[in-house]
Amino acid sequence: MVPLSRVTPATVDVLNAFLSGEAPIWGLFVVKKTGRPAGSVYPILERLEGSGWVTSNWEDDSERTGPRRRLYELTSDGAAAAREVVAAAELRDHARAARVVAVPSEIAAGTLA
Amino acid sequence: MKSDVVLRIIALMLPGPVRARYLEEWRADSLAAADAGLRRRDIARGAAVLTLTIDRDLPAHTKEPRGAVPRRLTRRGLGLFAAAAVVLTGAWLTNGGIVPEGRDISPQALVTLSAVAWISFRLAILAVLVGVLYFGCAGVMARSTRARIATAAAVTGPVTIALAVTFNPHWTVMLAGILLSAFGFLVGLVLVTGPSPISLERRVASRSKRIPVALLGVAAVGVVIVIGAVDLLVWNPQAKVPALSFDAIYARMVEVDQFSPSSAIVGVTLWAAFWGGSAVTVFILAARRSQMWMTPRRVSMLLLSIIGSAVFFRFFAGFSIGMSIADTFGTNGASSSIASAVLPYVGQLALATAAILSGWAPKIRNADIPEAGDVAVA
Repeated sequence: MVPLSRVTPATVDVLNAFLSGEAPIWGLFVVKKTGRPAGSVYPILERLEGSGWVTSNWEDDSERTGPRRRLYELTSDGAAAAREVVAAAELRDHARAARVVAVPSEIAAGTLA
Repeated sequence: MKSDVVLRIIALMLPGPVRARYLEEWRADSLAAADAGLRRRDIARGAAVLTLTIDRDLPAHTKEPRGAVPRRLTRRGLGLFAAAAVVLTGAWLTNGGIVPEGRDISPQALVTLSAVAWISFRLAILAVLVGVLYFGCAGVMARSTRARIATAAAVTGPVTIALAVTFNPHWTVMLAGILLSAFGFLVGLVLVTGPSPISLERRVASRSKRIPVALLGVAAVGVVIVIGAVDLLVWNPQAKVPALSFDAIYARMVEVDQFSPSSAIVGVTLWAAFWGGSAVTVFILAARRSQMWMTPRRVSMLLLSIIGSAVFFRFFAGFSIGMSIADTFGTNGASSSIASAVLPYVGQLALATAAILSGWAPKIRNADIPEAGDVAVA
């Protein structure tokens, strides 16, 4: 597995969709789940698969007709790495939120340098 | 239906090995788009973005080690650049092509030679442009800083030269174009011959494949050598001094210029023997069972290079004869026969073809043959 060269908020959202526990996961599901456009989701899925974070296979549903869905799942290494990435992103978000909350209170107290 | 056609067109721009996979995936998503509250065009847009951003060097997409395809594309670009350089240098050295001045030269021959010069110059420019395209594709695929630098230089260099030729600005613009092109060429060369080969595998060919090519090549070298030698000693002197017979020309050169026919014959014979001997050596190597590395492509490259080199060095072999004619009869030193005008094109074409063949190394398919004696870099 190769580390991701860059982790965007969209990447975190896609990884969150994988970690949500819902299955099966395919491209359109991730688009709907994350609210991100397909133009963001498809390249991220391709990058995750190319880096060995996820694998994909054709669905095995004999009752469905027409083109098959491509189902994605995290690899074991990918799942661990995804949890780390998502946790790190959440920490950053909390820290940012804390700063946003702290600054107005300091303004109110007149202690802002 | 319409979106299906759009998806099929978009899929055509994907790497071959994953084209069918992504098309089916997109079609499945497109059919279910309405259920997810999306429009089919959203899926098509996503497909288009993926086509633009997909990692085209991924082994899963190329079925080759990472870096093999960009390297091959760079090599093709370099081959085309080298071929163009040969033709353009030839045009520069001959001031746009040798125009035969002999009395017996027909107008049709002059028109044909002029057309060949016109076509070869434009083919060289086309080779540069296609080479730039190969460099660009390699740079986009490789996604490495070195490849991007090489691509940027290889693309902007020729464009700068073209602008300098068209608009004739300050001479530094032309110099910048030449330096950029040379820099792109060198960095491309580093990418191709870098210290970390990405695919060490063997390319081999059986004798039955390489001997016919070697035989044909040796015959071609023989024809060029015979024509070149006869032209230097007989046809060109007659074309320069059409008023005199062959014997009279040589007698006058001996009398006026102390010309030594035997020295001239020795010079031309040495030239013919060296290049003829080189061609025969290539043939002997190709005929030996152990020399499996002599693939038809490599044999062709070697023999075409011999033809090109023989034509180039013919100038030195015939220099003393040409100067003696000029000194004796007060003519210029340039060649006048039709063969003297045609052979430089033959030499340029041979060298340019050898350069292109060197860039067109095929994908390796026979790496597991144990008896292969040579190792090649993809």
